[in-house]
Amino acid sequence: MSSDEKDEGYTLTYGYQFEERLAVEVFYTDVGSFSETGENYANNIDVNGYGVGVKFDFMNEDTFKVFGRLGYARHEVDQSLVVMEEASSDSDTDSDYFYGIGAEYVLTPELNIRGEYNQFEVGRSDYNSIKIGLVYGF
Amino acid sequence: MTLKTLLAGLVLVSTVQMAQAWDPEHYVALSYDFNDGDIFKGGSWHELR
Repeated sequence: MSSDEKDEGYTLTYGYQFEERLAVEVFYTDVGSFSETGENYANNIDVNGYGVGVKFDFMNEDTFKVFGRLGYARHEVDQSLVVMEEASSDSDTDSDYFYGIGAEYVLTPELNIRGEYNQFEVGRSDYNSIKIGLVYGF
Repeated sequence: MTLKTLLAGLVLVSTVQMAQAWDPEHYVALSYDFNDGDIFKGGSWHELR
């Protein structure tokens, strides 16, 4: 049996900073594709999701921020399964909590660069997500 | 220093000060993600069906 449980994806987030250190965020994420193959079967799933979270800045300096995040996400899983040369497909959804930590560096007053680590629960499985991105304020 | 240079300097200083005082209330973020997990842990996606 072999499995590929790593993939790259992207996340699009909108945030509203309603207090100096507190923001609420909504996001959509394309998690990617994962596969598992055995002697008589092949299992492939595509995962995407959306959710809402609260972000709290533990450190809020002029040029640097450190934050934590707690939220709730809903994932949709599209599965294609081949067992003994018989193919089937299905999709399902699951909702669960997630958490994360990260840091932002202020490039300009409008533009920050952000790196973060999040852990999501999906069903009885989970995945880690390391995200590198840009934040544009308006 | 000419009057034109003085005015340009004042506009530049004012612009920088306004930018520094600007406090964004809304933002959008786009990230590239490296995902890694126990997606098939315990055969859970088989049992989910």
